[in-house]
Amino acid sequence: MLATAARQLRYVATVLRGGRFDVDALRKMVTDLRQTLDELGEPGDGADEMLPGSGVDDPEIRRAMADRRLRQAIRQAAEHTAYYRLWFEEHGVDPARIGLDQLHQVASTPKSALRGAGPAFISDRSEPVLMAQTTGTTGTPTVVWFSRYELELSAVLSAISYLMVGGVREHHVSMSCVSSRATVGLISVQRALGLVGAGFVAQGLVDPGIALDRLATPLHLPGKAPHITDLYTVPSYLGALVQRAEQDGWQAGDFGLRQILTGAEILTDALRERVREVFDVPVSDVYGMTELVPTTGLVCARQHLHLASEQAHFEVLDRAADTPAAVGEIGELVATPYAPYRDTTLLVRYRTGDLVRRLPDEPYGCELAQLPATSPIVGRAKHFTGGPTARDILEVLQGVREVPLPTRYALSGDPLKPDLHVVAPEGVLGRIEDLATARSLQVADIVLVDEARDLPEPCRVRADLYEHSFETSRS
Amino acid sequence: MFTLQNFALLDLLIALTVVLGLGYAHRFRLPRPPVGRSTASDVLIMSCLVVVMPITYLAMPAPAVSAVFGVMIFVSLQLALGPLVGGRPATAAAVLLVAATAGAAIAGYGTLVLVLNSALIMIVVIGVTTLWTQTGMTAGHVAAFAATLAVYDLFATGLGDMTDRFLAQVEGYPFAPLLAVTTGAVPVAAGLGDCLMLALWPMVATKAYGRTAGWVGAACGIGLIILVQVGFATGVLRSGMAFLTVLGPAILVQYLVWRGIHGAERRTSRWLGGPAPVVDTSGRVDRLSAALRTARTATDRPADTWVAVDDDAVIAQGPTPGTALRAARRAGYQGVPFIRQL
Repeated sequence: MLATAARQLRYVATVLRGGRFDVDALRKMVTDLRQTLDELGEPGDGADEMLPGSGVDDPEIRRAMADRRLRQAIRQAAEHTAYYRLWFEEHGVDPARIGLDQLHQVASTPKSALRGAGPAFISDRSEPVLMAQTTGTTGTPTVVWFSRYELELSAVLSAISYLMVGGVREHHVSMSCVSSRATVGLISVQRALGLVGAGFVAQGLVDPGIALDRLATPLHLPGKAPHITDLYTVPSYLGALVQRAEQDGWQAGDFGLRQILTGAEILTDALRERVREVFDVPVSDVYGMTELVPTTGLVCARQHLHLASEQAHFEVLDRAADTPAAVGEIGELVATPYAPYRDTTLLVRYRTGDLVRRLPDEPYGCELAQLPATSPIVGRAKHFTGGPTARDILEVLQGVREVPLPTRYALSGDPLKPDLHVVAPEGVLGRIEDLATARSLQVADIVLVDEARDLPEPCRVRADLYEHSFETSRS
Repeated sequence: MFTLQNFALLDLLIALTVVLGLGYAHRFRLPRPPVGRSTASDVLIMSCLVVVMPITYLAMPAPAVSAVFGVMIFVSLQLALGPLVGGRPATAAAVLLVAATAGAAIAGYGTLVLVLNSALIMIVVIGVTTLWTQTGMTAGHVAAFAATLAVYDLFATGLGDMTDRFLAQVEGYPFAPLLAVTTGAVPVAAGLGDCLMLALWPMVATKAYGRTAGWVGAACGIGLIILVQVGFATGVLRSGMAFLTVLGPAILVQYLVWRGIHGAERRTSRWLGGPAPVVDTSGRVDRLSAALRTARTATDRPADTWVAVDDDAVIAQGPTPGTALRAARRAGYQGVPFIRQL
């Protein structure tokens, strides 16, 4: 206990100081945490203060810490990456003078800049060991390199979070149904669960029937739950699982799930409700992207997206200018990962391409109120035309049971009041229109099509990153 | 003065401390750090402190030693009284008790100091032993600690004069680490270390092996105290006897006996009324072996079929493992069948 206390003090000091973490000491802290849970059942009082973003209530202290970390991140980026060194030189801005109050002087970094010149963002003081590619639907992957330090830190912080927040224990077994090319996420989860002592199954985006079969198959492993307990996937594939489970007559009692975690796409309330009916488990909506690893966010019960402000500085900027979006307006989420968490691919004011609404500066009144928040992701900047958001559309379409999952649609015509083309069977148009009217969805017309290829433009979802398998689904 | 009444009063106070400690630890939860449990390294560190601190105390002036113990007692009082009366009242009560003891000593009320000091020591012993127990100190740790203290006490008290010199140093000062019923150079008293071990072992034994082990531990401890007192009364033993050289081996023996009977110790969370482990896969190999034998009897099924098997019956079948489980569920089977391909 005394050695554990010393390690905790050291961790807190590092967080406050903003220095580089001792990953080995953090790994020992995970062991301490496991031993504590094993012997005492639950962590002691104040355990939540160990989590990133917690423990400091004073806004002034929080601001001072953020300022110091931001200055550190900008200094490192300006000194050690070609892109930012050039930017600061060309614009005559002294990086040493940039803190929270001066950040507006630095231009945001568009996604295209990273995608088009990846090596220019890599610190010359780093030791890159893993290249991760984004698996988004934009067509051209963005490349992000990571060091061993970053990967190990990400894993160990995830392990602490799993134990303290996720309630993951040694007897749990998680299954991942995300693209096998989501390298950094998979490595981080696998290493984190290994530290926790929990089981991990990397299933990939296979035929949903195969995944359901795997979820139902008893494990009979020593010290482990009878079935897979946790499922990590993307909402579009979760939709496909729900659809297949409904078709094949699977019931919640056929599985042993306790929770589902999704991310990287929009999770609607409508889909969440259908998941509850089929699997009878809660679904958590987690925010994360390859470029920002290990920074994450979590949607709370009151539908705020809370962001790990201890790991990165977040802003909601106007979609077209580097000015803050107005309260209640839709803006683009922009992030600057802090230096202690990132030492290889360094980013300053990185435009994530994810759209959120800026929330009023008032107490959030939820369980994560100490963390800054926005609305949940409402869509992608690339696809937004100023009319209805992707979230608004999906809430309507996924609320109609007959519309097949994953939901596929496209917009055409007037950007502010477009025509909505949906892959759906005949006979559901009236119900979609009723729901659209009830939810004030601003569309001119709703057009049903039989196949995805009949849409005016492709509708790509992550579930399309389908992986072939020799295994057959015969359910 | 070594009288039967004084010995009986001391025994009564020790017994009261042990019994109150058992009740307190079962009913109240002391605050503990967010992460961390008692480990072998903690026992090692405590053992080192036990050896080093008395040497340090002897090098310090008596008032300073008294002040150090006053602070330690104040912190322990706060800790122990907190769950009883709440945080701020506990602090106020601790301040009051410590101030009253110090004030009585300064005013020269020796008897009052004796009474207050004994009360403080009893509360401290209950608080500290509860904290150690509730932070997961195991019976094995206590046995190791007791064995270490036995060796230390043999040299510091039995063969050497360190304890005698320390007692002489703190005589007449408040916050002396003694549960005493008389004053003077040779008081009828038990040292703080003796009291801690007398209270700690029954508590941890109860946690690890159940109520019987706890009561046996308590009875053994108090019985040994009485035996030693008989030794004093009959002149067989001299005053300042190294009690831990007797209690330490007794705890070690009890630990070995209970471990032989029960095997693994009960987890602290279970003792505190926490839920049973969610997953129990004991007997897994036997159950899988039985299921494998049963599956051999399913010779009437087509090859490659997946069958769901209980210990002694084939329950359902399907083209895949999951569908076999699903068929078993639809047949009303709610257990976890073994599934194998024919």
